Amino acid sequence: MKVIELSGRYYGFVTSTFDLYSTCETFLRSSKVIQGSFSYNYLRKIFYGIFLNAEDLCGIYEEYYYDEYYDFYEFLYKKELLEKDDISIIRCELEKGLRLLRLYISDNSYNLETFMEYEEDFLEKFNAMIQNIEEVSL
Amino acid sequence: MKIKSDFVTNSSSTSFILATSEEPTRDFLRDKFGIRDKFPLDFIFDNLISAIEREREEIHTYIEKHYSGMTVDEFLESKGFNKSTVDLILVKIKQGEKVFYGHLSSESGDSISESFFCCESFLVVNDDFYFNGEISGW
Repeated sequence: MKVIELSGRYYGFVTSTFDLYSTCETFLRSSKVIQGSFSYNYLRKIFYGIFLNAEDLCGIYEEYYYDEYYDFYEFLYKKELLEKDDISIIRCELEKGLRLLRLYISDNSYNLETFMEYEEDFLEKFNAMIQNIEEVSL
Repeated sequence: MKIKSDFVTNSSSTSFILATSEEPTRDFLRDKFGIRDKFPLDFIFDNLISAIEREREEIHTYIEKHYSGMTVDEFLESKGFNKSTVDLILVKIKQGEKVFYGHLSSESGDSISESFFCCESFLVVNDDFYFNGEISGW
């Protein structure tokens, strides 16, 4: 599981078993902060701020655009308007069997997206916390 | 260094009240924030604690320095805290708790985390710990 920023947009890579609530609970347990505490509530707010209302682009392609585009990568290029270099990065992750989520962080929390934009270490450290989460929750 | 290229917002500075039964050291605050162990994102809370340590001032001392002649309740009401908060703080002072007042700034330059919490609204109430940043937030 991983979050990346490409051309000013955020994307998540998750397994097909991804579930927002249970994955967040596992994320919180991994931090070992006390349940209900200030840090617990903020970590939960951050996690939901990142993943709430995410769109499963693989699912959208398969359900609505499968016949319209030659493959998922053409869909990303022509519909999602991603650059070819960005699509190459995505392809590497999807070949590991992950699914692609389009994240709408600024819709959930403008403050969080601003924080992520300017706190250069945030994504690396957030990814360090979530990289093995789904293996744990399965 | 990052250069902000889009629109520039006004800077923001918001108040907090901290009341504790004992000296609010870094370890005490980590404990009251619910942090037990190190984890990759704990820097967010450590940076907030640094801002609190830097900015907090005993409330009577603060008022004497900046708003000489005002009582605690007059001062807090002038800062926008509601009556129930003011009454609670007066009780805590009477009970001998240590009460501090301070500001978080969106442009302190010390950490992005401080800017993040400056734009959030929060309240932590425990038996021996009270942290009010409710009038923060956009």
